[in-house]
Amino acid sequence: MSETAVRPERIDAFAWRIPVGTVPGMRVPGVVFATEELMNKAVEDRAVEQVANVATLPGIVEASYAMPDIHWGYGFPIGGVAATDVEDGGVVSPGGVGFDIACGVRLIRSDLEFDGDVRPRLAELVDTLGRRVPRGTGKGGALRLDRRGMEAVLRDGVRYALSVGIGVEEDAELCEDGGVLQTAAPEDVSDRAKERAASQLGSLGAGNHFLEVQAVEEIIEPDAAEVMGLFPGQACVMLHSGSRGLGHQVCTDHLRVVDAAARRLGIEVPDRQLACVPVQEEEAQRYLGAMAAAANFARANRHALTHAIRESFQEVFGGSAKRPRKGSGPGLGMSIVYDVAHNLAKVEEYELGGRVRTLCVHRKGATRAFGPRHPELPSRYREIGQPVIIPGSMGSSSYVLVGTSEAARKSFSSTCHGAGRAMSRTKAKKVMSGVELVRQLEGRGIAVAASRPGLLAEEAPYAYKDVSQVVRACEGAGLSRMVARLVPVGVVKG
Amino acid sequence: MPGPEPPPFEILEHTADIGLRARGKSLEVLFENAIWGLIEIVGARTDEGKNEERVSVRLDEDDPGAALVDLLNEVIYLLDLQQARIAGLSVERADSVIEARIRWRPDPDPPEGTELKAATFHQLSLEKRDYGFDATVYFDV
Repeated sequence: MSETAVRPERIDAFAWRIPVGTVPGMRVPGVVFATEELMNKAVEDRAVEQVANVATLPGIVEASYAMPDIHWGYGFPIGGVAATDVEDGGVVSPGGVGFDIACGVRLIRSDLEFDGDVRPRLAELVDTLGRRVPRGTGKGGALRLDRRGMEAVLRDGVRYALSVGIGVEEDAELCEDGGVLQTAAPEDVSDRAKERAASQLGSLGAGNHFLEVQAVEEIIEPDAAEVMGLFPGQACVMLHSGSRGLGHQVCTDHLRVVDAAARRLGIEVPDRQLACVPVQEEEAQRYLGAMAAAANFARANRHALTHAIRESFQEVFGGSAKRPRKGSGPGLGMSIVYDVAHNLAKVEEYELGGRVRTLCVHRKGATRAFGPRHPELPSRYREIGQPVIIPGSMGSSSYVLVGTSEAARKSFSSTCHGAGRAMSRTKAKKVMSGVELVRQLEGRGIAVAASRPGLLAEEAPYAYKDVSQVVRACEGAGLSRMVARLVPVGVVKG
Repeated sequence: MPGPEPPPFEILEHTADIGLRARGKSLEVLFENAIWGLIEIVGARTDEGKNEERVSVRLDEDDPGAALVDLLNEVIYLLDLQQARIAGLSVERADSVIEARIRWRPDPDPPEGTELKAATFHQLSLEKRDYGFDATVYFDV
C-alpha cells in the first residue's frame, strides 16, 4: 500500500466513491457507506486503500463495498463486501473470509424482565455463566469429539447438536441456512484442523469474543420487535464466537494452496493476503467445501454455548429454559432470535443488468441482511426481513436490525457487523488497566466475569467507534433498519 | 562508530490486529527472533520445559517470507494444540528446509497475552539489509 491516503468522493450523505484508477488494476469502483465522521476515521487508518485493493479481484461486479464499521484489516478491510461472477471467471479469496470462518452473533431472548427477575440475582447469574461457559485461549469446550463426531459436526452443524440432545428443533430454523451449510466437505478439512478443534466445541474463545446478559432498553420498530419476541425491559443474552482453531487452520491450509494456484494462473493482487482463484477451479471448490464445514462447526459451537447458557439460567432461576413462562408450566422462554455469521463467502443469486447472475459474495466483518419475502428466510421473519444482530462493545449498546429489500441492489444484501475498532490494542491498554475498566463497568451496574482481567482493556468501549452512529449510517444508506436497542448488564469474556 | 544494535524484534500497532518486525544477522537468527516476538505477544514464555518439538518448513530462495509465515503458523499450532509455554528454541537451515527445535511445557491456564489466530501475508516483507535480514509480518488477532 502506498503512504498516500486515499480520499473518496462523496456520493450522498451516507455513501462515498473510490474511483477506478485510484490503485492500479481496479476493475470496479469502491463504495464506502459512512457518515463524514466515520469516513474520516476509515481514511486515517488506511482501510479505504484496502477497499480499492479488493476492487482488483478478477470477476468482481458492481463495486468493492465497505460498511460503516470499516477499519483496517489484513488484506480485505473489516466491513468489506465483494461479489464475483462465478460464471465469468469470478474468484474466491480465503482472505475475504478470514481466519475466524463464520464468526458470528446469536441473540437469545427470554421471558424474564431484567429489573424484576434478573437484577436481584445478576451477580450469581454472571458467576454461573462464567463457571459453565468454557472460555479463553485454546480452552477445552463442553464436548470432546471423536473422529466420527467431528465428521458429523462438520457435515451437519446445528443438526448434529440437535441429534445429541442439545437444543430444540425450532432452534435450527432460527439460524442462518437452518444451521447447516449443505455444501460442506469435511474431507477437505485437514487432520490438523480437526485435531485442533477436537476439544473446542462449546467454547467461547478469547479476543473480542464474549457473551453478554443484556436488557432491552428501547424498541424502535414495534411490529418487527413483536415478531422477534422482544419487549422493553426484557433480559436477553448475546453471544459472539466463531469456529475456533478449526477455522483458523482451514484458512491457513487453504490460503497456501490458493496462493500457489494464483501464482500458477498468473493472478496478481496488490496484497498477497488477497490471494484468490476462480471459483470453478478445483482449489476454490475444495476451499469452499472446507469453509462450509468450518461454518458448520461455528454454528454447532454457538449452539453448544447456548446449551450452557440455558443451563446457567435454569440453575439460577429454576424451571425450564426452553418453555415459555406463561405456558403450561414454569419456564424461562429462552429461544433464539437469530444466529448469523459475519465472516463468510456464499454463492447467492442477484439480478444484474437484467439477468440473474450467480455470485460469490464475500463478507469480511459484514452481515448478510436479506429483506422481506426473501425465500431463504425462516417463515416467521418472511414479512419483516432477516434479523441482524449487532454487538456493541462492553459497556455500550447493541442493536437488533432487519435487512431491507433495497440492500440487495446497494450492497448485495449486506450491512455492518459491529461498532468497528478505532484504536489499537496497545493504545487501548495504555488508556486504563483491565482492573480499572472492571471497576468502571461495575460502577455502572455491569457485572463482569473475565478469565484474564489484564487483557480486558484491549476490548474497552473507548477502543471502538460509536455503534449507534454506525447503525444509523446503515439505516441512512438503506442497508438495514433499527428494531431494538439493548444495553449490557453482565459481561463474560475469555 | 557503528550505531546501537537494532532490537531483535518490535511489536507493530494495527487497528484490530498486531504486527511484528524482526531482525537477525542471518536468516536463522531472524526466524528465531520472529518466533520470540510471537511468544512475547502471546505471553507464552517460560523458564523451564522438558518437551521438545521439531517443526520444519520448506524454504524457497525466491520467497523466504512464505517460509517465515509457515514457521510462525507452526508455532501457533503448537501453542494452541498443546497449550504450550516456550522455554527455548533454536533454528537451523539445511538446504531448502528451515527447522526449529522448540523446548516447551504444557500449561492448562491460558497465557496472559493476546491470542493469535494466524500469521498472515498482509504487508509481508523479508529483505536483506547491511546488518543481515529484516522482516515484517502481521497476525490476525
